[in-house]
Amino acid sequence: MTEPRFDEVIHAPLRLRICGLTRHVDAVGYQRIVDTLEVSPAVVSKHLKVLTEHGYVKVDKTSSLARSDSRKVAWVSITDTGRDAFDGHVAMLRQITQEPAEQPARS
Amino acid sequence: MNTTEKPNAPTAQQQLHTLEQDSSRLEKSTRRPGFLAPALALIAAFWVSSPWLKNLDSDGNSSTYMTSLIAVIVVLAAAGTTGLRTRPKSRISWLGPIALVIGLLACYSISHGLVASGLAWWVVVPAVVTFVCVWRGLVVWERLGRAELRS
Repeated sequence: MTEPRFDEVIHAPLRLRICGLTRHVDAVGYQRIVDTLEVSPAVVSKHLKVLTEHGYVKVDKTSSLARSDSRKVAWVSITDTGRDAFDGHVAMLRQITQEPAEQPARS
Repeated sequence: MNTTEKPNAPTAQQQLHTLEQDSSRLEKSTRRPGFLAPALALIAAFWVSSPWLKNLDSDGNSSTYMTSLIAVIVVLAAAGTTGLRTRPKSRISWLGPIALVIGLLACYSISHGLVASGLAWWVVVPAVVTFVCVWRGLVVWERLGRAELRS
């Protein structure tokens, strides 16, 4: 079972969601991430850069038959480090939701 | 908001809910076009019946080459639409396609045998069996893949 662990990098909501999208697949296309998160490509790029710098995801660019021009398609995949951090952070979120609510102080 | 602080319970609940929603959207995006399974099943059935077609056609290999080409085009057209690269993880996900290929080869061999025995019209039987098995097999395999996405 994964140890609950707060992760500062993944704590940012969009970075958490990017890791969530890549967690159970080999790779997710960059455009698929943009479409699913419904944010601008620039915002996704910014967060991907942070995740890449921390070694949580890697981005591979390949040519694609789906494109008519020569530009390559970016594929984002989670690394083992990123998977561990994500699982730990999600376990921590689950732990928080299962904790009993704090009792209000008696006057 | 201090982003280095642990979230409180409502925020954590909200984040988990958002992750669930993202997973559902991703799962929907992996759905292949509806035509893919029946199209591939039809191509497989055509290939299985090719010994009989070769019998009719003097240019023996043309139907096999044409079938392979159409299959590749259909698969590539469908694969480019999801924006995902997935790989089946469970053993059953691997055994299914292997069993399907073995069954396909068996049906193809039976077709050859039937044509060689002068029972060419009976090739319809392995062709229909192939069509049904490939169609159902692809549908089940896709379902398994989607289930793994949520695991």
